[in-house]
Amino acid sequence: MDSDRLIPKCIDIIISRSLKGGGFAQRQNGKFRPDVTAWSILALSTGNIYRNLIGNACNRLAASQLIDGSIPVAEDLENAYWPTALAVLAWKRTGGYENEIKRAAKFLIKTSGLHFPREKNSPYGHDTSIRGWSWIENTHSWIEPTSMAILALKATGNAGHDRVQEAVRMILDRKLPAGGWNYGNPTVFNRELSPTPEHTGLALSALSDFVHYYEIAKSIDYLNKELSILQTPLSLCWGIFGLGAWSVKIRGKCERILNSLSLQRRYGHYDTLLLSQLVIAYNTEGNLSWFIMQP
Amino acid sequence: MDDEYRVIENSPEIWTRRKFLKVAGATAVSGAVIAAGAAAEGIIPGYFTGNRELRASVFIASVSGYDQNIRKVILSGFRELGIRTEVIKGKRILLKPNLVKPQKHLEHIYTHPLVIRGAVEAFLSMGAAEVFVAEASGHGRDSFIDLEESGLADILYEDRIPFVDLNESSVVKARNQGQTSQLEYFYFPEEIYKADIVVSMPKMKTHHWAGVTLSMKNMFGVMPGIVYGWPKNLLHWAGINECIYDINATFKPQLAIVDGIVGMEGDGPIMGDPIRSNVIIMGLNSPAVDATCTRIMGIEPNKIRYLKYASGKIGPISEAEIEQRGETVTGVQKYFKLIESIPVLNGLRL
Repeated sequence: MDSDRLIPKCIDIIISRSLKGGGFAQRQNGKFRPDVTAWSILALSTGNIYRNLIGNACNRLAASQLIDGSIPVAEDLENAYWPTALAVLAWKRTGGYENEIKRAAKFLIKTSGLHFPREKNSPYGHDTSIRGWSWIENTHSWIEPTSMAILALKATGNAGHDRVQEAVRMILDRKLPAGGWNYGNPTVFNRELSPTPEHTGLALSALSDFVHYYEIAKSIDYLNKELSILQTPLSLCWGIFGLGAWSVKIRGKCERILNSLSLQRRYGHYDTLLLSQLVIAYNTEGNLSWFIMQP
Repeated sequence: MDDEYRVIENSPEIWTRRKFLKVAGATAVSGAVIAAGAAAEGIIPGYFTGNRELRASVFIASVSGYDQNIRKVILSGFRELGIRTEVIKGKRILLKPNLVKPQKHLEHIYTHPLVIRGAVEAFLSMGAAEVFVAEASGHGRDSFIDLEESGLADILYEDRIPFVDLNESSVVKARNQGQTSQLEYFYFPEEIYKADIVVSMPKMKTHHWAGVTLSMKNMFGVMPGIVYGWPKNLLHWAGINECIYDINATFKPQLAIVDGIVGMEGDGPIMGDPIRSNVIIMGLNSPAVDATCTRIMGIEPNKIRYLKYASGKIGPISEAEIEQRGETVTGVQKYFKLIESIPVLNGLRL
């Protein structure tokens, strides 16, 4: 396929996975997923068209919001609240939904992962008392849900809130000594684990405007090096978002994204979330915070 | 109840495609909890006596390297375990390897792709309708990077083997049949119920929280991240040993094929060192397979908590109740290094 058509084709596929009641599914004939819906809204909004589809999707997100303000991954899984931050970003990007945003932000502020004082002989290298956000209620905080919550609260004017400041410290505490991040365990039993481009991109996206460059310089170096060989869509996109958050230019970004799309012949058809992230990475400079706040 | 979920009270040993579709149809309207009512049959009818699995056979093959004919080894295992063609012919086979945090050229971390290829070839040669690989990686959401780092992506592409990311699956709600942890239900990916035979294909490794990671711990890796997180912290908080047992009590894989050619000792499951045991171990009963593996590793199975839970309930772990076929345990035994500074690895020696 002609490379000019690849991104429009992605958008067509995302649209084909829209649902009658609003929202989007991860795969063809799949069920509503709020996180996938949020990413799809963000992707379609890069074109500033598809208003009806976006509107219906935002309404579906609103309909799935619980009384406490959270948006769980499924009706039957109320404690899996992690899509809440994504819903905030989607609504913020679209405009409107002020009440829903306020309730979701309030939920995020009053919710944290499960934490405990650092013990003397702890097998963990990080400070287990610093709070961030977890995937599921009553579990520990990790890099991805914390990064997304920081982005969401920053977008809603809560950047200065104590919870956000503490979460920034949490992310810094989980940084690997040599730079970069993984899911959130820098060392276990005194052994340093490895970073991943995915989590490094997430952390860097969250930390921009909160820390100085020198605090994340080694992580930028790591991600830049990885990006030169990355081709898998999720890691490539988070690499672009992470470096984009720090205004680091990515040479050949669009070609890299098109190449990643062509790898569906190797990996199989991409799900909606991956297609959405590729569209966003292609159509923006990679700075998610900036992109969310643009009209 | 959202028709996304069907609640299965008594997880059957095997759900044929026809059974799954029939049940799915029946519960779409009522949404009620269903009683599966299936007998506790494995892939060899009549092999198990009711719900208490008291004896099992485990096959040990000596394999000098990944360059050997692994397909032939696995076919020998089928013969030794009494798995005949009619059990596999026309069936849909799901292979679940261990791909946790693979890194290129560190083949002691993950199930070797050539073992997976060997299994695919063995099943297809026995007339399987379809064989696919599925995984729900626990440390990150990028499953394709795991496939690339492990070298499995090349094999899947060359051999046209489909891959399913279980992290993103629709889920089936099943009542916890183990009842050792506090979790009332588990949410399994629907693919494992749609497959006719689920094969747990772990790497033989030590584990710094569970002691060992083998065919039963490998089933953690089917649990979808959209429900349990990355990592699957909900299961750790509920008790790792309790959840290992409960998951396997609720859904029993029909076959285990363990890659012990090059395993991991020391600080498993990621940071340990390679150790060559030169074995592939196979069996129809996961606790028996894991008990055999631990003995090969120089570890006492009764000292592994999840195996203690399993003992006499979902499978035997004592030597007297396991029929060892192929090589003997002592003939292939290789004592895995156990690090004193890791508490759970203390006091495990045979």
